[in-house]
Amino acid sequence: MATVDPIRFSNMENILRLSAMISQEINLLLKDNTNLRNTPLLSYQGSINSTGSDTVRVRLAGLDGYDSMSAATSEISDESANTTALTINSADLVAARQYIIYEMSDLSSMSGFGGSDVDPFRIAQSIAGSYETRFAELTGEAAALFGTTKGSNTTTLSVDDFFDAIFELEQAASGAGAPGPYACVLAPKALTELQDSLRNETGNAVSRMQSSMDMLQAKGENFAGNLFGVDVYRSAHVKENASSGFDNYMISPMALGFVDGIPSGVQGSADLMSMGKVVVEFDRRPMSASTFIVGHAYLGIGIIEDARGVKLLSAR
Amino acid sequence: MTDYTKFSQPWEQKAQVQTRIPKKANSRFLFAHNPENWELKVIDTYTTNSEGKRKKEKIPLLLPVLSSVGETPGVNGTRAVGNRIDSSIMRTMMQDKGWTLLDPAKHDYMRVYPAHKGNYHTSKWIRLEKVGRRVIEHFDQEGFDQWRLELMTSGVINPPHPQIASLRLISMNRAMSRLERDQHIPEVANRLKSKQEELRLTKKAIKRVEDLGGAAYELR
Repeated sequence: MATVDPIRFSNMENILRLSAMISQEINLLLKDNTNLRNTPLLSYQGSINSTGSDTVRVRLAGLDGYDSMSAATSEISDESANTTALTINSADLVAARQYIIYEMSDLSSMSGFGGSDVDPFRIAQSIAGSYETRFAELTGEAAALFGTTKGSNTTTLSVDDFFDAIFELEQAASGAGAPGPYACVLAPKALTELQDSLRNETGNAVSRMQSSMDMLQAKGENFAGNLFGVDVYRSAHVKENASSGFDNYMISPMALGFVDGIPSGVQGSADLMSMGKVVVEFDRRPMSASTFIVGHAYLGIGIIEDARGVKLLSAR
Repeated sequence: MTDYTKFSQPWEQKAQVQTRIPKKANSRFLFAHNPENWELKVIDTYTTNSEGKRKKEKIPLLLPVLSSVGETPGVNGTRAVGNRIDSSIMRTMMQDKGWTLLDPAKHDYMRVYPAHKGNYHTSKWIRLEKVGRRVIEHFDQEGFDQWRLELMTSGVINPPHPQIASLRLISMNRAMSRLERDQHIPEVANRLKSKQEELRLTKKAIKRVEDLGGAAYELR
């Protein structure tokens, strides 16, 4: 039998004392799962459930003033040869399977403290947040296809680039202009560059503007402020393009839309939890004493009308 | 021949071979060009005069801005069919709108690295390096510009329409007029000067395309 003299912590560690007492509360690592799903900026085009397809075709037609009238050549002229063709277009939004899977052994689960410790149920709850993150990622992917580009992959984002994007939306569709509100989603680095550019603004109209000052304040949430009438958001899920730049974007309503689907009446599933747009199931593997926690969602995001959005490039 | 010497023995620590890059997997992508998107680049070229002396010349050119368009199921009409990704809806839609799609198999620009939950796709001009917790990217801008120039000289991408190119001048003029009022401030004067130079070079690049058409990109 070992004896200790004097009694020190180092002697007792791992036998009479713990090397570390772990905190009861599980604290969260930094994450970014904010997206524009529940805002009027993204158009929800419905669920694919019971529609007979995985695709929703969004129908677009030039009505209510898209076509203007013309003057007749005379008061009795026959203008039947000058009928107006109806302009039509469509955008297909295809829902596809998105997933996340965790595997947890029984030993790791049963040795937890209980309550809100990490166990299969806490993981299942966490998967709802994973859906929001995936939504933000897919929104960034979809916006990378906007045909109009402002800024550059080789320069930092500036107030000039921001103005260019606003002007582009205001003059969209041969001057018809995209109706607001406008929102701009920027990679964190691009946002700091924009703030830096704002600080260097010398024009009184910009530098003395209250919104310019608001933009420079550090904010915890993803909403960074309203600049020149555009709501600015920061997102870690802005797409990194293959030319060493960020595909930031500025949009107006109906630029992007989304569809989804939720599995219902799943046969053979003993534990199925429907959590909003996500379905979580447990897959038990008794031979390996572990449980798979599987989350599924069916989601499709795409451009509805290209003229209502602009890609705002900045260097990575 | 199989090399059996790489098997670890019981007294050895397991060899940890880090084969994955510390980034999340992303989708395959296509480089594509929309005919509205161009950027100014000044390319160095060397000419030989009548006395046989080499002379460096800087030629301003409008090079295509290439978008990297991901083929992600659920995005812009792309879907997973069986074990493959079907992006035909997206490609058709892009071609209808005048985009030029560059097939990676034909133009060899894509590089794939094993990453978390799949593969990380990027272009061959991006070199990845891990420093501490960060993954540093080195981008070979010169090589990328040279490739874009080759796309122009080989006729894969058509030269810019002068009218489209001229739209750049409008936004540049707008940016300069915002600076002109404050040109008494030295740093604003410097910014104005660089924008004036950019405007001059852009005009020169547009003129070159107007005069030479596709031959504007043949520098030798």
